[in-house]
Amino acid sequence: VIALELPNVTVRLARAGDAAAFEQLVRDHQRLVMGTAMRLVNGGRADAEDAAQQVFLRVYQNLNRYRDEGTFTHWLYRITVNVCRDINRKSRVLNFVVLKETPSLAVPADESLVAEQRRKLVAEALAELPEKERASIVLRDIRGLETSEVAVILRSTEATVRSQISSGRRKIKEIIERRMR
Amino acid sequence: MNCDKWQQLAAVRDDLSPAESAALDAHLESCAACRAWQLELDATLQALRQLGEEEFAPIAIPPPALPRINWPALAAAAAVIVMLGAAAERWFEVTRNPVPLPVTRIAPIPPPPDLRQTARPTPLPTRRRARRPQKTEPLLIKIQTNDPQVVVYWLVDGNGQ
Repeated sequence: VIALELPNVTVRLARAGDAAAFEQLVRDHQRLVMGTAMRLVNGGRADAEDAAQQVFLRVYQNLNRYRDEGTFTHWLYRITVNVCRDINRKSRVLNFVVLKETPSLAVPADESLVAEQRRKLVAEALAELPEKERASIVLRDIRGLETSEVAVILRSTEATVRSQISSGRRKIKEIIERRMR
Repeated sequence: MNCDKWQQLAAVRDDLSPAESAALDAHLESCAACRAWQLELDATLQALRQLGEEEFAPIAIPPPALPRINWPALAAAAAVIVMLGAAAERWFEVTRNPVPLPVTRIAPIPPPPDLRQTARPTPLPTRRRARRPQKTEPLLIKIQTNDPQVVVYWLVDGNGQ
């Protein structure tokens, strides 16, 4: 069940053209956008920051079109996914080269280092997933949204998203196992 | 169902229906390979979820600038609109009160010279002379105004009056 969220005061004020309210909106949602973009773009933090700027610019330009369909955060997530997809498509060739050059990593014996190494491997494996599987995994596992919410954001069905999540998780596991051999 | 199918379900264990979940649990109890697979996947998911705990320093996002107004273009557009409005008003005015076209008086057409008095060897055929309008025959001039429903008829007598 998806809770419907009426736009809060900040969103309403920003929609009415209040610059201070818009700045507050940016501060309130910056982590959400950056945390999502960091795992959706291939170019690391620089691309994620670029994505975040583009996201908030689109939010600013389209606030009048936001008609309270679902929650404001769902709308924001959708814009973030779209912006990151566009950025990745523009730099696809470069990313292909970078991924091909990623070396296989040896796993250290220490347990905390193993966990750290696994996180790094997971992040790299995530970047190798197909676009839709990656978006589903980022929203479901990293952002902690329900599958039904992910379906709304990606304009898909729950069954499709569940299938993408299942496939994506298994691929990540396989990629890590391959790298750790 | 083989282990690959069970693992597809195990990968979305948190999204299964109660019936699917119960069936998976029953399989895991009887399959050591799938139990091991599930443990490895859980470790992967844990690492995946930790990626969401990263902290980010605030980034500088400049407030989007308001769109600039191109005043010369705006003024030109306004001028065009005013001109179009004036032209439309004039057009409606003319359509409602049509002004008849000026009728210039048509001078009587002088009769052609009598070809019989010239020294032409062959006279004109009589058929052509018979078609010449009589001098006393009235002439009807039809004048069409801008309004197709308004037609002015001008009756001219034989003397052009």
